[in-house]
Amino acid sequence: MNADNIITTGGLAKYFNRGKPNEVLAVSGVSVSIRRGDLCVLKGPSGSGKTTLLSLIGCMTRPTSGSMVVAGRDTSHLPERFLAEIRRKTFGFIFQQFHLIPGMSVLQNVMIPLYPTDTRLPELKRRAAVLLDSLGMSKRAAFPVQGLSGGEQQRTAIARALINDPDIILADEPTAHLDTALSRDFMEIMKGFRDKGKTIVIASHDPLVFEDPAVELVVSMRDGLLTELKRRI
Amino acid sequence: MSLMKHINILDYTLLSLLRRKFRNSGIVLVFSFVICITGSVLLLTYAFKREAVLVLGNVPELIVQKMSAGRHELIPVSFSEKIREIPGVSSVEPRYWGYYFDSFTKANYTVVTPGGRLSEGNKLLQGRLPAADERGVAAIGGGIARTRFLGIDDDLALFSPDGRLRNFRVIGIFQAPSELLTFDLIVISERDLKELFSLPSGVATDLVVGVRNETEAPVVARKIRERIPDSRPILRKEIIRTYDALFSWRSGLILTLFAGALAAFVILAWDKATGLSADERREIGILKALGWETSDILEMKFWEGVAISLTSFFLGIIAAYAHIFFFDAALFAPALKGWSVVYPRFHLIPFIDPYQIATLLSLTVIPYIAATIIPSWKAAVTDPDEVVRG
Repeated sequence: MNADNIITTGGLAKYFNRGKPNEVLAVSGVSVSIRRGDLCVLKGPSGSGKTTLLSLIGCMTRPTSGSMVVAGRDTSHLPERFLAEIRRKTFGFIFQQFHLIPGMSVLQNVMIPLYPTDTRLPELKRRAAVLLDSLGMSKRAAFPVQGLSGGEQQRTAIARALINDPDIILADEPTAHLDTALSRDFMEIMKGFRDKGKTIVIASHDPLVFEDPAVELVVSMRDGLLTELKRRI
Repeated sequence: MSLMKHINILDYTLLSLLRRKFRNSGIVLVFSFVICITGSVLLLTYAFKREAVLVLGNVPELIVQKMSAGRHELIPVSFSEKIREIPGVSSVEPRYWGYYFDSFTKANYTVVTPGGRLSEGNKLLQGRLPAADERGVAAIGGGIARTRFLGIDDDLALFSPDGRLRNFRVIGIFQAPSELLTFDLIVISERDLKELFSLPSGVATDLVVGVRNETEAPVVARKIRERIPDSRPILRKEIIRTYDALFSWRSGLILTLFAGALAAFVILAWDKATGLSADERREIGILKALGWETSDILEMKFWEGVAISLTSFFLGIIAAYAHIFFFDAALFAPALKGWSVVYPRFHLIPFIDPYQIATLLSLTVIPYIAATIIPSWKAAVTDPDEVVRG
C-alpha cells in the first residue's frame, strides 16, 4: 500500500436488494487508489455505479465485499458509530440535490455537521460566517435556503462540506443543475481547495468537469465495472 | 462527553421545532385537548370523591332505616329499645330530616334538626344554629341564601304539605369546608321540622346507632336485621363504596362520550409511530451523511418529543384545572354531578391527586416520546446513502 494514497479500494463490490428479484450489482470488483491532494473524477453514464462508488468511499454505505481503506484505516467492517465519526471528521459532502434543510438559514445549514460536537455555538457561527464570506455568501447568511438561487445553494452546500475542515471533499454530480459559467466557478473553487491540500473526488458525467485539465485522475465506469483508469499528471 | 454537544443538539432541536411550527402547534393543540378532557374527568372525579369523603366523615357509623314495600319509610322510635339491647351498642338516637322541594328556585333543600355531628367541621359564616327547642328560626346553607337573597334576620318562607305558609327567621348562614354538605341545608328545631313535614308522633326519619368498637359495626348491623326484619342498617363504609362506584362509573361515561377525541389522538400517535414523512426521513439521512450518529439523531428526536408532549401536558392540565375549578366543569358537569343539577349553583373545592397526575403523565407523555423516537430510530439505522437517494 502506497503511503501517499488516501483512498484505496480493493475488489470493491456492492449489491442492492441482494437475494431479491430486483437484485442489482451496482459496483463490481473496483480497485482504485487516490492520492492525497488528487482532484479525481468518477466518470460514466447514469447507472454506471459512480454515485454508489462515491457513497462507498464516503462511508455512507457498506460494501458487500472487497476492502476500503481511508486515510490508512480499513472502513469496510467498522461499526456504524465509527463510520459516522469518519464521515464527520474526514469527509465533506456536496450532494447532487444539495440537500440543504429548508426552513433553516444559510448559516444554520452550514453549521449542521458540527452540531453534535463539543464546539461552542458562538465558535460554530464564527466558522460558518468565515466560510460563507470566503465564498461570497456573507450577505445571504441569514436567508432561508429555499429562497436561494441554484448557484447560491451550491455555495452553501460547499461551505457546509468545509465546516469540519475535511481532508476529502466528495461531490456527486455537482454541476447537474448549474449553467456553464457556474459550473466553471465550481471547478475553480474545487481547484482552490485542492491547492490547499484537500483531496477532491467528483462523480460526474459532465465533460466540463472530467475534461478539465486540472483533473489528475479520471476513473471511468460502466455497468458497475471500472473500464478505464487514467492518471493525467 | 461534554455538555456542549448536548446543548448544541438541543439548539438544533429548537430550530427544528420552529421550522415546523404550524404542524407542531396543531399536534400540541390536539394533544392538549385530549389531556384537558382526560385530566378534567380525573380532577372532577377525584374532587367529587374527596368531597364525598369529607361529607361522609360526618355520617354516623351505622344508620337504621325502616323498609316497607322496598321503600324507606318513617321508623318507630320504639325500635330504639330493641337495638339498645344488642351488645356493643353505645347509643341509639332518632334523627329527623326530610327533603323540601322549592318550586320557586326549582331546587331540593335538605331540612335537618340541630345536634348530633352537624356542628362538627362546619363553621358558621354568620350567626348561630337554632337551639333544640327554639321555634321559628333557621340556619341555612350558602346556596339557599344566595338564590333566595336571604341574609341574617330575613324571613325564609316554606310551605307545609297542607299548604300553610311557615316563616322562619334566618339566624345563621353556613360556610363549610365543602359546600356539598351544607349548600342546600336548612336547620330548624325538631318541633318545627315535625310541623313542617306533618310527621306523626312516635316516628323518626331514621335511627343513628353508636357502636363502642367501629370494627364491630357489621356484626351489630347483622343483629339488628335479625331482630327487626323490616329494618335496613346502613354502614358508613357501604355509603362510601356506593359514592366511589357511582363517580367512577360516571367518569367512565364521560370518557366514553369523549372516546372520539381519544381515538383521534390514538390515530395521530399511531400515524407518527408507523412512519415519518418523506421530509423527516430525508432530513435524518442528510444528518447521518453529514456525520451525525444514530444516538445524536435519537437524542434530537427525544428532546423534540419531550418539548411537544410536556408542553401539551402542562397546557392540558392547566386548562383542565381551570375548567373544573374556575368554570365549574361546565363542559360535562351535568353527567358527573347527577342529582346536583337541581342545585342552584355548584362550586368544587380544588383537590388534586398527585398519583393520578403522574399516571396521566406517564400514559400520555411517554407513549408520545416513544412514538416519536421509534420511527426515527428505524430511519436512523438505515444507510444514509439509501435515505438521501430516496
